[in-house]
Amino acid sequence: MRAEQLKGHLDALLLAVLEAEALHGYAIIERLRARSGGTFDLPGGSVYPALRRLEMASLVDGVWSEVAGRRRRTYRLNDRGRAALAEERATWRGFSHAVGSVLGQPAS
Amino acid sequence: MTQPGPRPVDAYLEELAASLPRSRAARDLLDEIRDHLYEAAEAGEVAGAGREAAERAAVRDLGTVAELAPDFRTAAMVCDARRQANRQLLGAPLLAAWGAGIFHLLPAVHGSFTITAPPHLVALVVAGTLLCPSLILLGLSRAPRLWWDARWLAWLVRARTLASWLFQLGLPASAAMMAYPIALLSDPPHLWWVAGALGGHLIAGLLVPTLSARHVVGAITRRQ
Repeated sequence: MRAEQLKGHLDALLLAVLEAEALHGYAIIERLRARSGGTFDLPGGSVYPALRRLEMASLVDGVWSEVAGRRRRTYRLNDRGRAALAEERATWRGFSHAVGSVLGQPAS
Repeated sequence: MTQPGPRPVDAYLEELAASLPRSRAARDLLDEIRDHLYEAAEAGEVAGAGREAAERAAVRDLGTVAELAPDFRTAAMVCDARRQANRQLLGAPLLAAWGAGIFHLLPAVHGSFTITAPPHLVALVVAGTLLCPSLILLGLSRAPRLWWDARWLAWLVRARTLASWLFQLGLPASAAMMAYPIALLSDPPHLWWVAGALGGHLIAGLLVPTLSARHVVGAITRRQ
């Protein structure tokens, strides 16, 4: 699935991936791919600006460390991020239920 | 004999760097992308690819520079503006400490004390050149529309330039206004006035950026 098709959902997906543990960018992309069964195979370049946007919105915290001589930024979901994720989940459930009601059954 | 060209990851990072502003936020993004590419290349090697092929695949999967650059530029500009606003707002408590020292400690030492720059005028200069522009910049850098509306981003760049100029002018000016009462108690009087202006310049140019970049802003950002 291409990044354009995920626009509007990418932020929520990133928050969901970070819910269980703190991860760096590459691991976030890999986790997203694995959890979607390979459907969300995003170009990495679309994820990093989104992570910065979430950080600027104070939903995740980024921390630098050094690994194998390289600087690495690891992201962790904070309390505001957890609240935002809960809200996104509720909105998504309502939306998918409504769409499913319309698309799920062929007109008789 | 021909020299080997740059490795695919290095060549890609060089091209990406050329399309981004020269700033700390851009350097941070490049470091993050470097880590991503090396991590992806190492995973490719583990899967059996040669180093060169693994790096090429990592670069291809990330996306072309032309695709990435607009969003990366936006991210760098917003991060830089937020950092600048935080840094400039740090100048206010330093200036308040300087003012409190002059207006409260000096009368205690010298007894008689003449206020030549009325406090409300100093407050006006401080608010107009330091606080208001920095707060506007901070508020603007938090607007979600920045991330998809180019006009808002253009306003952020203008606000950043203006706030920077006002800060560089306003901090020395207000520091000098506060130092002027000391000038009247001293001989030669203008020396202290100049010292105040220079002190303001040093705070604006050296102390605030150093303090904020290394310690304070980092701590604030981590807490946010």
